[in-house]
Amino acid sequence: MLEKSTRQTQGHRYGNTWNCLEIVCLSPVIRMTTILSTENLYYTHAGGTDYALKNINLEIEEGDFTLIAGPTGSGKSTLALCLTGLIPQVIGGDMKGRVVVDGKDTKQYEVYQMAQYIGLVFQNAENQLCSLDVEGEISFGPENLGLPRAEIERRVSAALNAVNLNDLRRKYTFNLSGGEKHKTVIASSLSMLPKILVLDEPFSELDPVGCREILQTLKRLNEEYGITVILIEHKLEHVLGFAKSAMLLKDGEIVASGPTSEVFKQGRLDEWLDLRVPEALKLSKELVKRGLMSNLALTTDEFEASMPPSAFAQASQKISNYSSRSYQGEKAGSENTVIRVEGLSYAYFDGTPALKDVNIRIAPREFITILGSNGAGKTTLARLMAGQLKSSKGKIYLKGEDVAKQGKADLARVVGYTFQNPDCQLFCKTVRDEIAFGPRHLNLEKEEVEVRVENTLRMMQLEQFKDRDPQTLSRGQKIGVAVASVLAMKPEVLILDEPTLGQDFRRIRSLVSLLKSMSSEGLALVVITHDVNFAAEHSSRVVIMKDGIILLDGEPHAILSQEDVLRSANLEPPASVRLSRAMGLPPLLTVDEITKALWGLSEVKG
Amino acid sequence: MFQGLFQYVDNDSAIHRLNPLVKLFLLVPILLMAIAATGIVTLFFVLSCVIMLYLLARIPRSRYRAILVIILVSSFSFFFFGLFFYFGFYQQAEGSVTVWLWIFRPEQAESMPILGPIILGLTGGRGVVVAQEGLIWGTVTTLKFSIALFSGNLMIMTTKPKEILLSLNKMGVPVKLTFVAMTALRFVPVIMEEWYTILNAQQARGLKIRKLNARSVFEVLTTTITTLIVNIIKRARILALAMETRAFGANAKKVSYEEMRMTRRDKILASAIFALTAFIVGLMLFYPYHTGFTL
Repeated sequence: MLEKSTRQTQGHRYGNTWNCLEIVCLSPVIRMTTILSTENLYYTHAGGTDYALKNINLEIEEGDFTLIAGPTGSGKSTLALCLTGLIPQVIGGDMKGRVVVDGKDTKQYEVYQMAQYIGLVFQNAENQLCSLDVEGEISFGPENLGLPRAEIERRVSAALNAVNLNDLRRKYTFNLSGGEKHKTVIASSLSMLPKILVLDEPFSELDPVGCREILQTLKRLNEEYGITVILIEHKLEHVLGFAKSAMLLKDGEIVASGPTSEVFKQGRLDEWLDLRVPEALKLSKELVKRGLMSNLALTTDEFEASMPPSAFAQASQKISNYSSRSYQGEKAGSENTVIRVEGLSYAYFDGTPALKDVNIRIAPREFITILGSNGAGKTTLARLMAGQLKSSKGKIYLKGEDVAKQGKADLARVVGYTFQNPDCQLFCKTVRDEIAFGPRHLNLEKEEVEVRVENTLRMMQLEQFKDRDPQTLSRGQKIGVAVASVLAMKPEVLILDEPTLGQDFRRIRSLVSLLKSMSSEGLALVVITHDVNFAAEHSSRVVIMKDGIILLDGEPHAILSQEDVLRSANLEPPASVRLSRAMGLPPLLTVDEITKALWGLSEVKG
Repeated sequence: MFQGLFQYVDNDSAIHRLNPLVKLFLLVPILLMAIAATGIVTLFFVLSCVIMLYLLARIPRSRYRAILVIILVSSFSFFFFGLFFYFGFYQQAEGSVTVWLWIFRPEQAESMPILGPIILGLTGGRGVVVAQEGLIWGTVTTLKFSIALFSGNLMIMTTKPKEILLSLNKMGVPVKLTFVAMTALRFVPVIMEEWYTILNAQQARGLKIRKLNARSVFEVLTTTITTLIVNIIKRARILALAMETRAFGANAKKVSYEEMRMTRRDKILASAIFALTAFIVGLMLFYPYHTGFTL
């Protein structure tokens, strides 16, 4: 990569010596200089006693693309705050050791001075945008530095070019898509001309299209502009093909570091760190163990390249009709349908159609995943079914009765709905009150409310938090409380809007196992997500939406193997579909299915 | 119903292109006329001129709806007051009024047990009538209110919020104050959405908003506002950190990247507005009764 590094060493830069945003093709020069290092870094949060970071010693080379991975609560975000100088300059707590950025100790410099060397992009782009339009957002930093207007103009134009946002220069920030918001925040950081860019879980709220856009932007900034990228992320399958080096954190300590391939090809990631092991790596480990493959593959591309197409041709014939999953739900007929949607349309205030002539039926015990990119109409459909919006055309029948004739509160008895942002649906003083809120408003007897609260607390494993303020819990725990507060009303359908966002693998797995047990007792589950792997692993039925219409609806194998349709809906097909195709097998949805089909094995550990 | 009110309309019209300071300045003679004029014809003429500016700015028809609804609702209260209470308040000052219909004569009101003293108190003991002057007062007040609402909204609909704030900076308002206003504006849609989500989340758990009593309404409002404030504080913390990393509060003097230039056309128009203002003030001072411009 450094051969392509284009950093100019004598550019005109305010407060620094180079100009990162002007591409100058230099002859290849290999320089391995350390641009960021920490020495014996320890940190304790204000009022805390345990170390949030312990003995962190890291060195990052100039021009590197480093991935920092680890489970929720491992200290990744705290490390980012230390690297950028926000700890200790703005945020309290006790920091020991040193962080040196481009030769400057962060303890000696103000944050705005460090910002000209290292930029930080936080997880939620929405919360970082302070201006009304894109241009104003990007010029904000240089304006604060008091730079001449011509220099600000130069930086704004260069930053917009770097992230390909020129067309949106005058657009309002609140009208941008998720990916565009993130690019705006990255550009506003770039206008400070940093040498290093730190991104804290930028993909957690983005759909596959947004993820791809940001990754391509980062790749470009790294390769063409020579900016050192430090990416904090736990969705490994997206980033392993891009990161040159990696570092794994657990309980505030570095447990592995080195070139990406070395870090991820050793150890049992899922057991160590609750990280979701990329499918290609998981499968290739099994194949290498059996002597069927020579090298481990980190990405699906790598796997495809190293797999001869006819390697498993014989096995393919044997398992051509394979389907590991029996269809769980009842078929939605006229008698057992809980929700029936007929010719449903909805338009926003400005007339933009959000849903167009949608028809769907939901039966008890179904586990339906509605997939689609941002703006596909998933949430609108769900909110209409939960009675939160009124349709402009079409009908929704709940157990045969027209929803339009029922109030939101009455609907809540049958359809439970959890919102994407748990912060907006937790409003009571304790977890116990939160769970009791629904049953109380159903006018149940006091004893019945108590029984339901106790049962739900136990079932959702929330007993230890019952007297805590819900707002003080972690995001994963908040989602658990939100789901519990709806389940306590014993609905017949539960709709979960993006329950996997910002949650690590272990938490998602435990939530799903709880929901599945409820589903087997008759609850129909509808999960809205853009996580195709979630749909592949758990659902009994998959619905694909795009631009307000249902493109496909049916059994997961039949739907998720249609790569072209998925791509046209701006979704990535599950990695295992590509892996099984590369092996010459019929499309299978998970690595578990592939290994079961070939050797009758159950779960393969990472 | 009120979506789109006080929101910028993205057009490229002659009015949009005017310097915001000139537009602010234009409000002076318009509002002066609205305050000073007493004649229905004069006020109607001023309102027509403001509507002409709307047409010039190519404001879509859908944006008129919310303004008209507000005018309709408020005109109802103006007419109600003008028709029924004008007599009581103004009889003494204005001399006799043309009474069309007695609603409550003072002696009738005196014999009424509870309502009587209230009516007599409100009308200075003169009772309630439907009077011609009251109708005129209602019309005049509605016209004045309409001019103020239409002209103020024109400024907002044709000027980007950021430009309004920059013009305020130019007029001497501190940058930090306008920055607070800009951030508040930027988060209005986000906070509105959260407000509805929190209310919806409560209804999704069985809360029947239409069947609430006064105490429960207070409880729901407290819950919703508290949750909203907690979320806003969380957002503000991240925003503050993000701003720190972009040198907010650095010692250097903040520069404004966007420049607002006064074009020749702006200057000519500003002079014309100045002349118009002087002319109106002249009329008010020297010919108030001939022109209907009185204070």
